[in-house]
Amino acid sequence: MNKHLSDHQLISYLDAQRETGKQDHLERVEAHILACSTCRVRLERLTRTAALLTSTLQAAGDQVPLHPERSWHRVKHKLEKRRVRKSAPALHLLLRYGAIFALLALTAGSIAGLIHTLAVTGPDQVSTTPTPGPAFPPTASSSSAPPGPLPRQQSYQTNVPLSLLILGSDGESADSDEIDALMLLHLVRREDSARYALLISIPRNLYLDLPGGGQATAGSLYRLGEEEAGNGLVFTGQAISATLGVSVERVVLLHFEGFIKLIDLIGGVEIDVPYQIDDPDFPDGHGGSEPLFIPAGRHLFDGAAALRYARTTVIPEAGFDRTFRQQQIALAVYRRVTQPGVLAGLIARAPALWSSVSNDLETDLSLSEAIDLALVMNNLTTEEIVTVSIEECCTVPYTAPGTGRVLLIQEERLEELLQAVDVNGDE
Amino acid sequence: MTIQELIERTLAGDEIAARELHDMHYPAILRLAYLLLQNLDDAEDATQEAFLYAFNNLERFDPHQASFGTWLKIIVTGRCRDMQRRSRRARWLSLQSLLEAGYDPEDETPAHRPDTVLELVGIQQMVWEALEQVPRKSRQALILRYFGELSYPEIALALGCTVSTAKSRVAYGHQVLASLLGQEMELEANCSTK
Repeated sequence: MNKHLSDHQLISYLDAQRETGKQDHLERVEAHILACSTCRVRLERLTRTAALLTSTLQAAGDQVPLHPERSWHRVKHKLEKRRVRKSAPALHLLLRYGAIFALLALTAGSIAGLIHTLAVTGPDQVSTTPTPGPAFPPTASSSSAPPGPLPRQQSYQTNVPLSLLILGSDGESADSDEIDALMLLHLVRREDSARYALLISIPRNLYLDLPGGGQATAGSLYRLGEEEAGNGLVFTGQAISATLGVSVERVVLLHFEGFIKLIDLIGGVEIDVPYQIDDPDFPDGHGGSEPLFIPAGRHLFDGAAALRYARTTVIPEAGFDRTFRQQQIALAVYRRVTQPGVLAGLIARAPALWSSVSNDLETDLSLSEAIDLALVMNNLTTEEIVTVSIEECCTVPYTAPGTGRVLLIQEERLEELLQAVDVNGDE
Repeated sequence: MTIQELIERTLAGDEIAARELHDMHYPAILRLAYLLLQNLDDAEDATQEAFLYAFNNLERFDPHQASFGTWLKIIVTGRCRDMQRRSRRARWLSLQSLLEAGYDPEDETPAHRPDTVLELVGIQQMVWEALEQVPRKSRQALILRYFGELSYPEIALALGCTVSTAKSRVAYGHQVLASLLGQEMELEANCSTK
């Protein structure tokens, strides 16, 4: 008698009985089972286990209470919300072009500020006076300015919002209302008309008070606002403003996927990958995995490749994490978009750009404000964008049942920080 | 109307077709989610998220690769795994503060928090309790195989592993379950003879 079959072989045999095309294997195992009473008993035990498991799971499943009506209404409600977001009101074609450049310059300009202070910026480091920017003498509003390459010496517009909360969603969750990145862009006035921009990054797990009472993390503010107040943008703005003590005049929500789509439209981005990335479990978006391998070196990434590069959770070296990689991409986009030749090329492809942006964007910023703000941002050099990380300087970690790990604001440290960066300027 | 026709109509914006797709697959998807999560609220959330994802990505569905029902099962399994990951992370973090407050983790043995929907009796209750003792990954694989009726490549897709790993998880779970049930039945037999 040959040695006994393993449980795995017996289970494979049971599986093979359910499936076709394994006759050779079946015959050999079957021959052994016929000749071996021990394996026959074991096979019976495994067969019985499979039958018991199937009937138990079926019985358990049958007891689950079903509410198809309620489920459908919830699904439908979320689908409608997404459709509303996708069907932004149509704008005059000419103005659409302006909006594209405004948003491109604004977003890219804002995010790129992060790159220049990758080292954590605490109050001590930030207290150095920012480089004075160019003068922006007040002029008449040019909200109906025609589209075109953004001039470097544009007049300052008096109706430029002083603070804009930028929300980013990386679209990984089916519920796209969860926010993954929050940044407050704040323009600071100074007596000599020089100004600079503060870019305050807010951690998404910052635990803060809600306008109507209660607490929640910053990342869930938009969703809560949509569910409870019917306006996620305003709700998020109010909560952040109350927490930081800095006014929030306008809010823009940009889905990271939309930003990535733009990469294809600008012909890709060049990225220096410092360390090889090997992620065999990279999710394929359907619950499965799709191995990701990126060798070290310079790469020209299209949108999809850039998205994978930004999303992988593999950290081959300390500091080379998702935040760093997303910032790398943002900087690469910024460099590309601000090249005069590229901007001219973007004009020709404005309809496609608009389509990409409008599907992934929600804002209470008016078109003229967006254009004016973009013009101001376009005039700032990267040195005139001061970056502040609230997480590093002004929070303490806190963990309690039901909250997971969150961050609490250290109010005194925050006050010191805002004074150090002269958040109110000369107003 | 065939599933494919319903999908095409849904893609064209037909809400009635979308509703029909939802209602047709909702029981199987909710039941699978419940068995994976053992919590009805979480299972309902995972089911809604799965339908939302499916409707928002309907153009990605390839009928040559899997049936629509199987596609939904793969998606909902992914959502359930996400929820479990989040819950484990939050639980681990919460545990740190509870430990400081004198909490004894031995007080609470299951790794999950099942609710009380089920009222199984006799041998099925015994099987259910034994299944709860099977390691999580193997338990998931068993549920997908014996309740979800997924093939090994589909289980691999749903669990984010290779096909051979999916096979190993099912086989190991099956082996553990058979062994646990064998012990239970021996115990029961001994008790009844005394």
